[in-house]
Amino acid sequence: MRLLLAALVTAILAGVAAYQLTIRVLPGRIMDRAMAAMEERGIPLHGFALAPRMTPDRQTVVRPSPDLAYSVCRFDLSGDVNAIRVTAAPWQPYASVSFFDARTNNFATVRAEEGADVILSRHPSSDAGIIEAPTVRGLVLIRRLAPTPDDYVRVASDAAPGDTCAPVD
Amino acid sequence: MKWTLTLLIAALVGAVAGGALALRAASLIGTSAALSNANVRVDGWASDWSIGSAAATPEVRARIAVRGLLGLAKSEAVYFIRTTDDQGAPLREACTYEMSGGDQPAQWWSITLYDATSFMPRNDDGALSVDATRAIGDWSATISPTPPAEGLWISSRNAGSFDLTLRLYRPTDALLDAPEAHLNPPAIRRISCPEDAG
Repeated sequence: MRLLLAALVTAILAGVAAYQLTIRVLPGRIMDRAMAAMEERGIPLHGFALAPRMTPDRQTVVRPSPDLAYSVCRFDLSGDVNAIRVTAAPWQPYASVSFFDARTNNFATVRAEEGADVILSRHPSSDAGIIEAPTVRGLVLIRRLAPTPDDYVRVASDAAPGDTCAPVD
Repeated sequence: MKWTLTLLIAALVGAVAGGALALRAASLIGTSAALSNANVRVDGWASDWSIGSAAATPEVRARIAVRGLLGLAKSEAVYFIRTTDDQGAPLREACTYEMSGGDQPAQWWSITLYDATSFMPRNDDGALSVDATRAIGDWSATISPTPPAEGLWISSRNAGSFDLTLRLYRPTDALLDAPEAHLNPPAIRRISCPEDAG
């Protein structure tokens, strides 16, 4: 009887520990895989790449919107890079620059209809133009409203080439 | 020896069960819906205001990482998911639906169809969504595997069992404070299913 009880308690404790570990580790692992997959597909480190227009045969992440044009930059603030400067060319009627950390949190978003120019830093700052990154690695994503193929072509020619994501000296 | 072996086996069984439950909670296994623990529900449309936020529970963050990676925090966008028609029956490819609605309390909105794996269905119909640039004022759209004679259309061809995601970008403060009062939830009326003809 004592052995059975001990086994039950052991199983429950192990189960709870495994559940908590798995549920907390999972988002980071998924984000790691997503960033590795983006690297393989040519999304640069510290540079924006405009993703192909989202169609069923080109979707690479779950639940993409076919009405938005996405530009992606991977960032890594470890080593010699303490900060990056992110700029987005203006775009109407909707554009935004969003920042995601290695745990999938959307820790900051700025409007970009009139363009955007911010610094992402490893260190905290009271300067309104500087955003602190909670993790050294993550993603920057520009979304622009482009519901039609012609809209996407205009993003590709008129806006995306003006986006930058580069280390600050 | 007997005790050691028994407790080791118990620990292993517990760990496997705990890990499996975590994967199910994250909707990596099983059939958990993307927002099965939604904290906002309006006429069949479900959302979770903690998406994208560091304040999200570990379960929500895990589920969103699997089903909606890179979702924005609610100050920029909110996402509602609908999996059933107005009679409560699951949405499926073989049926024809009429979805109808109006303006939404946001700068821009769209409704997109996704299959059970959270991807757009693999068809080349070029009819994946409706959005505020085309669905103006009081609007209606057909959801079906073949195109209607006229009007807005979302293709469910090759979707199997599917859901609809309503995105609202730059939602108003009123919507965030009281979604039940301010969301204009689109209706989804089932027009016909193959078994109806029998």
